[in-house]
Amino acid sequence: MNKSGHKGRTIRKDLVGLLLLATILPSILITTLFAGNVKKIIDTDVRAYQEVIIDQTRNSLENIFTSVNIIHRSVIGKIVPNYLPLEFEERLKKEEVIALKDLLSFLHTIAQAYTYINGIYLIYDSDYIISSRLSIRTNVLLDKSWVIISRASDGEEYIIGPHFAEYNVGLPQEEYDTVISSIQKFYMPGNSNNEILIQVDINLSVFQDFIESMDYNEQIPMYIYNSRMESSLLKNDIFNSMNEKQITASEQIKREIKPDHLYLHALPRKDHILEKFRSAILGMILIISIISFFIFLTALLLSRRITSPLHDLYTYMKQVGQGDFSPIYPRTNYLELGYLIERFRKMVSDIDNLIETVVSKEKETTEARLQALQAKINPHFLYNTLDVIRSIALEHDNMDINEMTLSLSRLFRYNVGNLEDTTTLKNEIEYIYDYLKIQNYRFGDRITVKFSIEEEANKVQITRFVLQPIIENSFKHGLELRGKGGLLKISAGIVEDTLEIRIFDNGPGIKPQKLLRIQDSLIIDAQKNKVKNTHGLNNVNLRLKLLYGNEYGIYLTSEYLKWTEVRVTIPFNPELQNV
Amino acid sequence: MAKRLICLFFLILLGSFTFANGGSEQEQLSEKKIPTIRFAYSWAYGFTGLLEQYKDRVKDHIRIEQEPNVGLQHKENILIDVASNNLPDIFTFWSYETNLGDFVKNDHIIDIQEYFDASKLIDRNNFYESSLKATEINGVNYAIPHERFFGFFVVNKEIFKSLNLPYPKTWEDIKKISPILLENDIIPISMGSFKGDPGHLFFSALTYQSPNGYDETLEMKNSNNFIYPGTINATKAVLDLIKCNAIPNNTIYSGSWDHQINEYNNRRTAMIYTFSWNLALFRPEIADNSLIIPVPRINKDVRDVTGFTVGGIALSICINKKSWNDSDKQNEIIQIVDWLLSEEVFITRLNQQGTFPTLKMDIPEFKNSMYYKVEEYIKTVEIFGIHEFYFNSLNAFNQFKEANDLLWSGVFSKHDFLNFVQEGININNE
Repeated sequence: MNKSGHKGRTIRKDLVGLLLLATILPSILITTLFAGNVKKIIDTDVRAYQEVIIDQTRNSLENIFTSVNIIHRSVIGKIVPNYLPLEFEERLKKEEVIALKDLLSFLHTIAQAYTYINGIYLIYDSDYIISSRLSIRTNVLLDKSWVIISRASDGEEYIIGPHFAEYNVGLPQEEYDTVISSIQKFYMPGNSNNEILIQVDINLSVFQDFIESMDYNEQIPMYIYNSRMESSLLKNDIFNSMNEKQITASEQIKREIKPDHLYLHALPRKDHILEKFRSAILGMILIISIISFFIFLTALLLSRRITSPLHDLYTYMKQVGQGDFSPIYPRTNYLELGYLIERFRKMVSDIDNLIETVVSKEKETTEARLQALQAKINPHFLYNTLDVIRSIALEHDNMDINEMTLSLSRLFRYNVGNLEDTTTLKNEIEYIYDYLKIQNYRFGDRITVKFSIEEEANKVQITRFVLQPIIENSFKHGLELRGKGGLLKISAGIVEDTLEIRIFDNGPGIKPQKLLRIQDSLIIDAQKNKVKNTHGLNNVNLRLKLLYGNEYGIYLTSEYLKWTEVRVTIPFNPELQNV
Repeated sequence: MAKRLICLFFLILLGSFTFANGGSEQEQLSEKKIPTIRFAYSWAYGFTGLLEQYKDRVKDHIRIEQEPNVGLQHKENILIDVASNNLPDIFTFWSYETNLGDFVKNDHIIDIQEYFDASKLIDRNNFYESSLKATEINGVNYAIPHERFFGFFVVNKEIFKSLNLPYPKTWEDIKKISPILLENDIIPISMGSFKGDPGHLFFSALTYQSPNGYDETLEMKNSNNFIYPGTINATKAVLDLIKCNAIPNNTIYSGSWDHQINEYNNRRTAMIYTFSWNLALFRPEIADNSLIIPVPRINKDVRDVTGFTVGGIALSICINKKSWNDSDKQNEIIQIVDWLLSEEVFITRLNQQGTFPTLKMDIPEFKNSMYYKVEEYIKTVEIFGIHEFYFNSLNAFNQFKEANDLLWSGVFSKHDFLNFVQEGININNE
């Protein structure tokens, strides 16, 4: 556990968790709801739908058999008023021929009208058969068992299961129609000896929708039970494919097609629907899983674009915390993150510069102290030596050597002081006097020195050794080159809150290009430069900027072959000066 | 990378939906539209199996919707289709102007030369010119003749031999042998008429026995007159057959080709006048015991009965003009008609029924001896077209058939019959 008690939690981990939750939870919920609804649908709606299908099937079957009964009744209605006692022995009378032709046309018209009727046969006692078909094989039909049964019956209707109607063509053929027959015996009114069997053949194709496993009945095995024949009349394909065990185990729904005769038995199945829905559910789960996975993946990728830079930033922060200031900053397209990283980079850069500045200063201080220490060892010998020289000069009344030695001695003492110590401008000017005295012995009256120091300026605290290197430069690069008539002007004054010191010489000046270079070198950022050289204008400029800020330092102006002026600015705060 | 992943995601998503919805709909979308061609024919039994094989061969680019019918039921169905503007794309129909005239008048069927011009396999030169005459109206062929037929009078040698009876040469002979045959429970001639069949064809054969009988029939088309000496003699001959009980009592009941052959195959009749389209129906053993003889002379003044028989073109192939002009169907129609006129179909039809090809082609060996007998017979006789071909309308022909039903059943007298037929012609002529 770390100090903040985060237990290793990261935004990335939390985000991944959140994404997982946002994808998996809805997936589970949707799947559960779907599966629940499917179960509900199967239990209630599908069962109701199955019953509707069973009822519709029963109705369509009833319609077929009802129309067959209508045909039976229509034919009877046609026969009764013009009954033809057909016999083979006698030639038909005119009325009978017309009636027979009329009856044949009637049968033919009915068969044409009901497209699913294959043939209508009127089987007379005399073995005459009048048919809607043009030619038939009478003997074949007469030999059929149902004809024999019907003739012996009390007039019940018999429905005969699918069979070849090999009697409906005049001669044996390679192909026969498959039909279901409805046969019933009728008596002519008033004469029970005149019996006619009416057989109506229905093309099996009309039952094709029932037999074939269509989408809707695939789930409902069905068969038509013929109670009069005590057998099933027709089974649909799905029922045929079931074994005895499956049939026994199934719940049966029974519907009456013809009273006391034909029944529709249906075995509505759940397993088939379940199987269908199972694949639907599995498909659904698969689709949801794939969608969830890709949503998760996409969200993860997008979130990584946010969390990765954040995490990198976090890592780099740790690096910076451990002192490594050279991290490779993460890249991001996000404006907000980009700004955060940029500010952090700036902050680290600033800290790095500050640290370097501090280190540089420390180093300078250390070096100065060493120099000072070194100077403290040697100057004592020099002071003593200079004092001896001055005593000898006094003994011999050589005042020049005396004063020169004195000035030199004071110069040394000033030099031994700490660079970072401050002093008043007055002290710095006095130090310059001593320096100029010595220079005066070198140049004599070739150079005139003028001071113009405001009284208030004298009191201003400044760092030491600011003016001497500048004045030394004026001699070295200006006045020494001029010969006679050299002028050195040193002036100081307060301008608003700044002490301005100007050192002017009328030496040969600086060439414009060189002047620009020097001016450029003086416009520096003190934080970014290390103080390596402690001599010259640059050194003084750098020291001033480090001590007082970048807005202070040295400013050089010159007119080639005429003059050069160095302006030194130092902050001035009267209150602080008083303290 | 991210773009690829998003593309992949959508692809898989799409694939998943496709998987979830099943491939059938996609298959349905990509399924090519196959033209459906309705083909109605009267060759219900036997031909359907061959057609099924052909349908299977072409199922990838043609969907054939077949409408098989039996005999005259086909004629009625086609006429219903015409009336209800639902004519099949291709259909078989009876030939000659009598049958095709209304289709031509109402612009229902194409000039068949258009088909010959479009077909790469079939040309009019492939057909007997005499056959093409059967579908010619005003010099234009409106259907492709498909089957030649011939009438022949056949006797069961075994029956005659067993009863020691001579083959009849005249009507008088029939009158003599009929009682003997009837005594032996054998119908002398199984002839009936329901919807005109087969009575009206036999009537033509009897008419042409009169010296000018055939010419009178040819003249009927122009004169619109049915009553000639030939038809009068034929009517009288029919009534003579009824009178001597040479034909069944119930000719309506006996009025079908199948019934007639069935009676003959079962030795319940000694003689039949039948046609080549029934050749396949003869039992081989009965065929072997059969003999084709000239139709007995109806009287002493008749022409040489050994020199002619009746015949012509039965069914022809018609192409619905509206369907032909449908660019989505024309190629498929050509392809199916090409097949219907192929040797494969002609040979099948010949073997399955007995109709002779109208196409000039080699005829294979027959299994049934009746084929050879008929083939030999028709080489010796001249073929006269039946009355059907020369009526001025289908209605007049239908009335002629109705009249035959009543004549053969004994209901009509000579006068009734002749006048009834004439009325039919007159009505149309008005």
